[in-house]
Amino acid sequence: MTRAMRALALAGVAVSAYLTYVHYAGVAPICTTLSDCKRVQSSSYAEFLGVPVALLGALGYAGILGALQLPGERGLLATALLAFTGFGYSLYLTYLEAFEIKAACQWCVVSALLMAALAALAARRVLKTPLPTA
Amino acid sequence: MEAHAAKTWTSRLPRIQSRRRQLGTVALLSALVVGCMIVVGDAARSGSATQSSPPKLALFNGIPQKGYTLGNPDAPVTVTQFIDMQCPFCARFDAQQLPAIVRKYVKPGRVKVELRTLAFLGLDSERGAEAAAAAARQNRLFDFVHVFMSRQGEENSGYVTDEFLRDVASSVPGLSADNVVAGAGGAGVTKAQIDAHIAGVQGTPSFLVGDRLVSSDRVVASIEQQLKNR
Repeated sequence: MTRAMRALALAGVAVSAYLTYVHYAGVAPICTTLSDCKRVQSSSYAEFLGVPVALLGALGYAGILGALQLPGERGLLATALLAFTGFGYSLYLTYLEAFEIKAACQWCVVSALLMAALAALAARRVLKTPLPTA
Repeated sequence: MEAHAAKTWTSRLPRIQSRRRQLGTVALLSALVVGCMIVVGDAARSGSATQSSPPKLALFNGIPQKGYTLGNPDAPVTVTQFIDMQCPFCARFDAQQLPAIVRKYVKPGRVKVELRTLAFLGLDSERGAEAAAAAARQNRLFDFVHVFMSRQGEENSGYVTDEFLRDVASSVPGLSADNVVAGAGGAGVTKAQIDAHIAGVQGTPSFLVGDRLVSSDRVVASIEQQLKNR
């Protein structure tokens, strides 16, 4: 399970690092005709306190990768905390895309799915791990 | 066998309950963090949307303006700027970077700026772009956009009303507010969209320096390079 989570987090780092590069370089992201990356990227929601949301995502995924390396209960719960927080914020961003910006960006959808999978696996990992004996 | 299964299940029960409690606590903490992020982000956005510093229209004094062009029509370098009237990053560029570019390159006649107003963020963008087109027909586009950007409201809140446009237009000397409000038309927007499509623009603000698409932080360096190459 840890290996699958590591792969998902790595994919997340790749997606958000690409979007961070696109944000700073001002170049066009690869975008299908079904999505409207232009609208999402130019919206005021594309930044959080001046930091691109994509960069926050990259830090979140990197944090999950780091937490997966931690041993014992600390690593288990830190991973779950980061994955749940990332998933919660992804839900909020998905709501914004659907109801405020009224446009979707395929990269954001991919990232939201990755976070959802990470949160589900993190929860399963916690439940499946035996409690440490006193 | 059934008794054994029941025993195994009941022996796991305390672990599951305890783990569930842990997960609940983690989920609650995550919800708190996300909630704080949403509140802080919203506050920052509405704060930046309502703050307005008076724009300095003297910036464009003595610089020729015709339609969508600012500066010497024969300037060796052309910068085409793609904006959305609601885009917060465009407002930031307008307030922080444009003045220095105008003073250093446009005023001396080395660069001319072409403005293309796109409208993809929502209805307020469309109304803003149409009003900008009306201001361009009166050769006051850059002053109008400069004031509009400094008074940007909350995205897609319906703030670009007739009253708002009249208020912005009235701040620009020589611009008929009535014409801006009443004479808004879509022609300028269509041309901007075609130009943006040709240039491969995928967001705002975007810049063509000559025929090269660059980000806002590369505009000055690209201007310098193009001037050097001539």
